[in-house]
Amino acid sequence: MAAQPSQANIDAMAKAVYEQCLQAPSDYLFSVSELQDLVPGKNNLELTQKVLNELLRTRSLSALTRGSQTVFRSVPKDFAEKVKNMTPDEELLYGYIQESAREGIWTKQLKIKSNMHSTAVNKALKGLERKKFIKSIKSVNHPARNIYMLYELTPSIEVTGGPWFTDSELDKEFVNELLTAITKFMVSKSFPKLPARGVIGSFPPGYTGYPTLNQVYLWVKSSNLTEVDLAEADIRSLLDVLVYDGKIERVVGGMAYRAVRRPDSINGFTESPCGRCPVFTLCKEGGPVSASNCVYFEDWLNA
Amino acid sequence: MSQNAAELCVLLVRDIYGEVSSRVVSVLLELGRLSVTQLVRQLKLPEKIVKQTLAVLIQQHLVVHFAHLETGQEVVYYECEWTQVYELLRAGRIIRAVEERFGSNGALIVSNLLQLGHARVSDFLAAYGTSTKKSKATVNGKPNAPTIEDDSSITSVEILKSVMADMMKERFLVQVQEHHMHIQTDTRNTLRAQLTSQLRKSHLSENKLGKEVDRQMKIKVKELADGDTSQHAGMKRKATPTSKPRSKKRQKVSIYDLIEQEEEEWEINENIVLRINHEKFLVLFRNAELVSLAESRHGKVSSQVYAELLKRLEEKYLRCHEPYPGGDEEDDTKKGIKLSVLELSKTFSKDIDLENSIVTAPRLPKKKTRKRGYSDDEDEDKPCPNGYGKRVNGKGKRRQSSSEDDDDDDISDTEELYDDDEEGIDAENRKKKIRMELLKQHMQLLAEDSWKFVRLESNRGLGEWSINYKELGKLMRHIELEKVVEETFGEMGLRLLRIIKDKGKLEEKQIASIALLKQKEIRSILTGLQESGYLHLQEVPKTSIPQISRTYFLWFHDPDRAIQSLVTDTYKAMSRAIQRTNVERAKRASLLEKWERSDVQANVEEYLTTSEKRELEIWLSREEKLLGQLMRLDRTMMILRDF
Repeated sequence: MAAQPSQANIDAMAKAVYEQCLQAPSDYLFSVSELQDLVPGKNNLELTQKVLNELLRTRSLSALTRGSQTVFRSVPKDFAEKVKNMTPDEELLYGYIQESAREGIWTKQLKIKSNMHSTAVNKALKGLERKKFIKSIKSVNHPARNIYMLYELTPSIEVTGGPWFTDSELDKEFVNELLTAITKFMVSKSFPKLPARGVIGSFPPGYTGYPTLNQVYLWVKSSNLTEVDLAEADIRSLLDVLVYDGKIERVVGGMAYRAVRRPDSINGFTESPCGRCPVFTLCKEGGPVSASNCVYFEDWLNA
Repeated sequence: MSQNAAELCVLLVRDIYGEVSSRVVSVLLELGRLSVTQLVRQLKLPEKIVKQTLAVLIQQHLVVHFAHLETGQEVVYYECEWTQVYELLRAGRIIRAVEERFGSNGALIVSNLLQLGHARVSDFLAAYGTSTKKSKATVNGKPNAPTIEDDSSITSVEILKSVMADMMKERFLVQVQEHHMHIQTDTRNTLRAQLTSQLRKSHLSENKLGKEVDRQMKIKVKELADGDTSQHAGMKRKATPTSKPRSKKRQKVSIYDLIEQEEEEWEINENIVLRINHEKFLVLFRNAELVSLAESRHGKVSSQVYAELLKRLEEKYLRCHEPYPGGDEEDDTKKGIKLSVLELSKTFSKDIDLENSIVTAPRLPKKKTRKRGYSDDEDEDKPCPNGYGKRVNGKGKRRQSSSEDDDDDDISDTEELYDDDEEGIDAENRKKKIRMELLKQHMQLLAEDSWKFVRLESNRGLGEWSINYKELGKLMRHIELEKVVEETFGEMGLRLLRIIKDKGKLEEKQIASIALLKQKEIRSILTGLQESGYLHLQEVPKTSIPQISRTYFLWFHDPDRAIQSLVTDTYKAMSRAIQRTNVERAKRASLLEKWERSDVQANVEEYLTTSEKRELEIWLSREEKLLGQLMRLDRTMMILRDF
């Protein structure tokens, strides 16, 4: 039996074992015997125990149970660094928050998972937030919920609602601005320039040069309209909206788009006072509102 | 019919035929068919007056009747034909349309016939022959009919007759038939009973019998509605075919006459009774509406081409809708109605400048080819003069090619044209061919549009085109609805409606994400649309026990219901416009009475004070505004209900 190894020795050994563990895939689970093999001075149970204890103390390894066996998992270096400064509560919550990745996790769920008292949870979360390990975010789908996520991550599209959302609110101005710009672009590409002004021209039938989704996408990219990184799918939904607005239509078998001229929305019904009347349903001869005492008619006739 | 429509009809009758007639109409509309005794009881008026009123209304085709055998006695029931009452509104429109086509003589005939309801040709001519003044006086009596001023040209009876014949040929006038005066339901029921008893003899099973009766009914009803469509219906051979030279006007009006002249002389049979055929006018109005739609979409020239096409096809359409419901097969028979570019170009007006008003490829060959570079077009062939890629496509292949290849076929057609040119046909011919090619391009533009103004039927004669009125009618209705929604609910409302129409049934959340709008914002608009009857809500409970929190709320759009509710609202708006006119008139009753006096009329300056004149001006402008609005509402109504 060798002499009691010094603390420094054990530290060095622990470091070596940890380095070796890091070589394995991150979620690889080590059994005790496997770790024993890694510790120098083979099968020295006592030494292994000390090294393991040291590793657990510095949170370089975390212990888990698989069935009845105890297994270990290596903890990435940077994480181990952070965890060193945490209380056990904080560490536990940090783990769950980390697991939730870019989706974030709701405080209520944290409580259920950790089985901790809410004051303890809150205290731990506060601590973590102060140390800039986690941040609180807002979800588009559940605006009332307190959701936490690792500080360095950006929330996923499901949480933020995609490029159209700013601070979890739909950015109407931004969307409208883009819609207007794209409409202008489409109009410029859909009607040929005419030698005579004021005459409506058309491309000949069978023309296939109308802009496609990709062309619109490239144009938006190159036009410096926005700093937000828009994907082709985002442009598609913008074009869809324009189709629904009746400003453009799909051509060439749905592959391309072109602007269309819209007929005036002038209409016999809406231009008559009755078509805009707020009390139209109440209007009845002999009733409180009728054609004879109608103020809207009077305004309209005087206009 | 809706309550609002009834209100409108009563107002119209009161305006034109007075209080008693309007009361008769109102009772008939409220209670349905009634016999004279029942009517008298309801109206509390002397039987004589009721009968006189009914006679007037029957003469105007506003009331129809049918005799039933009840307990061995004949009882005559009267019913108000409210669609005819509504047509009273269109008198001005009809006269204008006729004037455009047949000149002032046509307008004169039509305005008189509108006034009279129906008239025997000989009576009409006799009354006209004695005095033109007299017939003019009756025109003046009608508020909606513009006065026809033709003192200058004293029209001969002969010319009137020929114009009448032309109008009959184009079915703007039709012979009055017995069933026109009868209640439609009863006519059809009798017809059905006859058919059933006839066919029962052939020992069919009940099921088969029903189907057979339905089939034959459809044919019979169509026959009844069409009347005599033979070429010389209501005409007779002229006694002296040689002498009379025809007026120039007539030749201009109808191309058929030129052909006819070579064979035999026909003239109108003076013994027939004529009436206005409102159905045919609707066909005319529908075409006009389509042309203006095409103009807003493709510009003037394309719409002119379209107008020419519609005009050429017009005679083949007797009415906008089939008389017997449930006739989907009608579409198949209609398929025969088509026109080729070649045919169209023969009568196409030379005044329409096809070349300079529209940019087609030949004018901008460079631009075109450059643009094509963007697209992933497969053909790398040289652009030919008309801008199309040159494709070698055998004639044999073209004839048997499937519909998918249509586009290619058109191109090869063009090729042939240009090839012919190169072989050296004189300039005139060449010009003609270029013109034809341009015509074809316009047609293709119209066909390519997602609104499908025309449909390609075959490639014969540079492409044969047909019109799918049924779909276009739907489209026009929807466009009208969209206009109303956009005006009332703004752009957002329109976007939401179109999304829901396209996708079917949707939850609020999905709608918001497609429309890129906030859920909170769209909620109020959706509810507004629902209140107006343009959208509807479907609840689908998630659990067996319905709970609000566990229920899907799906929005959907039912076009028929939406249009229906808009139609009812439009009726109401029309009633209000008329009522307001009456109110405005009543406010100035004494002034107007004074103004209408003949001595005042003759000396307006002297007899009216300045304030009176000013008030009169206000009234005239207000009346014009209100009536103009009424006509615009009627235009909406035509699109929504009649096309």
